[in-house]
Amino acid sequence: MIKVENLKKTFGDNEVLKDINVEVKKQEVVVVIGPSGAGKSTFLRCINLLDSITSGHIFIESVDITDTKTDINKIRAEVGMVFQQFNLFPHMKVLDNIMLAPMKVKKVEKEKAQKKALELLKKVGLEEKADAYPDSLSGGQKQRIAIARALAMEPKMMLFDEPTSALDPEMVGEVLDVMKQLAKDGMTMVVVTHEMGFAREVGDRVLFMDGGYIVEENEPHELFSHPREERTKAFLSKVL
Amino acid sequence: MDFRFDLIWNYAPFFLSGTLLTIGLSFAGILIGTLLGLVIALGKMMRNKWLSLPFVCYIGFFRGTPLFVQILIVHFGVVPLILGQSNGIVAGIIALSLNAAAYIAEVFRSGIQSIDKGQMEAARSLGMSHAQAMRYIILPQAFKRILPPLGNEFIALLKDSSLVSAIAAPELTYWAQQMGAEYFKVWEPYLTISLIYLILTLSLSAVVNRLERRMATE
Amino acid sequence: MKKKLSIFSLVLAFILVLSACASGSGSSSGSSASSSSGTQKKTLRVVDDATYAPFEYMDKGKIVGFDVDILNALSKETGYKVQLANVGWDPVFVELKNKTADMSISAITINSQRKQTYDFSVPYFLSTNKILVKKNSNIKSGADLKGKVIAVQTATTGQAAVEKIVGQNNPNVKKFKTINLAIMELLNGGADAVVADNTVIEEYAKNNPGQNLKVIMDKKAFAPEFYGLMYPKGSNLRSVFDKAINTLYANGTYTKIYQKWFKASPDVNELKAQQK
Ligand SMILES: Nc1ncnc2c1ncn2[C@@H]1O[C@H](COP(=O)(O)OP(=O)(O)OP(=O)(O)O)[C@@H](O)[C@H]1O
Ligand SMILES: [Mg+2]
Repeated sequence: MIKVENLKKTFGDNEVLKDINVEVKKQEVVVVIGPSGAGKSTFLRCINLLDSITSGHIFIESVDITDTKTDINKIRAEVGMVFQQFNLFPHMKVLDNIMLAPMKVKKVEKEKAQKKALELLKKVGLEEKADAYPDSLSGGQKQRIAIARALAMEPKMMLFDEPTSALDPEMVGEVLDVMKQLAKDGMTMVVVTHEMGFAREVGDRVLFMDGGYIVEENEPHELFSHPREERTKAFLSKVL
Repeated sequence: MDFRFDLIWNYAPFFLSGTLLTIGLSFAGILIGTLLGLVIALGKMMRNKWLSLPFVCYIGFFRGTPLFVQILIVHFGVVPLILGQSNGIVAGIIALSLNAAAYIAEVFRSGIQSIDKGQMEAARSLGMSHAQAMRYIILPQAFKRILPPLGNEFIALLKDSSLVSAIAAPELTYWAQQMGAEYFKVWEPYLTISLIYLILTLSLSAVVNRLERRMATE
Repeated sequence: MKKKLSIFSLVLAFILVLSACASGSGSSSGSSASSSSGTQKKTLRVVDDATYAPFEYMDKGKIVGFDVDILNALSKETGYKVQLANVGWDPVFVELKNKTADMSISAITINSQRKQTYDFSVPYFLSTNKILVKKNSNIKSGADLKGKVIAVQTATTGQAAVEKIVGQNNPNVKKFKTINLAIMELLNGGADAVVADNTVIEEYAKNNPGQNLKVIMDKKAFAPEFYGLMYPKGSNLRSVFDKAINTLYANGTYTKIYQKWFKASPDVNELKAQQK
């Protein structure tokens, strides 16, 4: 479903991604871990071209998104993204946050978009917040709304960049629960996170990134209990 | 001091028509200046240096030269070229709009740039085009934030409209000058129009304040 | 000529009058315009309103202008020493009436009304408004200005003359702060005619032949005005100064001063013709 070949990314002189090769299959949940500055966010942002890539290719359902002929807005509409800082639209009510993109990008009719939005709100357990403004919500609630907003576009896959890192500990659970449910429903997901419990429970595969490379990848239990690389061991000893 | 209210009364019809023209000039200037200012702000923010250069120059020119001179250039240079003859009101609207646009562009730019980058990224990640993201996400938030400085620009524009009296566009200041010249009086005409300008600017800022309150989300 | 009375000059005049009131009262009073029989000619007190550039105005605290140069030339010619005091427009008349001053030179138009109270010299300046139009214009007289857009300079006799024809504050009269702008308006098609003082208009038309302009004179619509030295009634300075004025006409001094201030040549014959 996602295929990354020889991906390189530099910011000025700083080579952040050095040679990334990954494949993500349909309905797979891939968890990305690694120290700060490893390039995890950059990797994720390259997948929907929020950062332009320096060289290499990325295919989404066999379409080369790095090809200049590809309609990038169409690709992005099919790839949902959830940010660490939520990035809800503060000037819109929750319902409008969710309805906007389907209406403007996919030209969904208002009634349909609204029906869908309410369904999604129910799914993330926040129906009663439909008419609230984002600023009145807690962090956990905001992130659940952000997930609902991404889902409203009916994406084929979802990218999560540390979705729980900005949350107070007691709110992490509610967001992870939504994500677990998503995984169960068969969503293809790439998740950058430090929540090892989540990785163990729903991850099909874990990628360990460091210094712009994918240093090691394996099935979660295997990687956590028998890391092969020294760098992986050093990192895990700090976080586990 | 004998303040001659009767002389003001003689000129009341002229002050009235002058006030209407001042309002008209300012309103047109605000409208065109805001639209043009937005375009110029977006132009200046283009990543391509060569494409943004004309907009940078535009702002530099209109902020860096006296409005009075711009009015003369537009009146005697630009408008005759377009209409075949000079026209004080048309020239006034054009010059005021062009000048205000430069200032308003900078207000827009600072407003747009003050919006968190994450907003644009979130919008783009949902598949919106740059233009859609600007229109539905960035500009509404930026607009709310720049309303106070924008209000200041509007008020400045309203007062600057007095400069078009130089090209005999018969607005408020023009009639004050005529009255002063006719009766050899200073205070009667100029205090009168000051009061009118004050009422106009206070009304304008009241409108801006109301807009601000209406746009504030709970 | 340019009877420009801008707001600025009004304020200036106000300040000057105030300062004159504050300082000048003690010094130069008590002069009377009676006997000048002795060999020692007395110093004349000459008053003016120094707000009419280029006739008389303040430049760095000094009164300068066309009238001032004429006065100095006359002083040399007659042997009278003069002391010029800027007192303001209305005080000029009060002082001459009270004979606290001997004479005034202040771009004062000679008219029959004033002649009843004061004496005047022979005219030393001719002022008349003329019409500046494009060569192909169908405006031929002052009356043709009706219904046309006319550019003038605010607060000039040109404005007054035009408004007498078309009505005061007629929207067709565009009033500019400087004559340059009014002429520009004509050149750019925003006005059909400019009405202003002859010196300005003729000068412009002459120096810009490429603009295809012509100057129209209408003595009926715009009556010429003559400026004179003004004295208290019965002053015996008249004949001496009249003679001196004619000397200035004859020896070219007048023309030289005129050209210095107006960059044009005076119509001396017309001025002399008025003396008959
Ligand atoms: N827009 C940018 N311009 C320049 N350098 C950047 C930019 N974005 C990221 N970098 C650099 O790229 C490197 C990788 O950043 P990235 O955000 O991908 O790391 P990360 O693995 O997500 O780290 P963290 O856990 O702190 O989020 C860092 O050295 C960072 O400074
Ligand atoms: Mg990151």
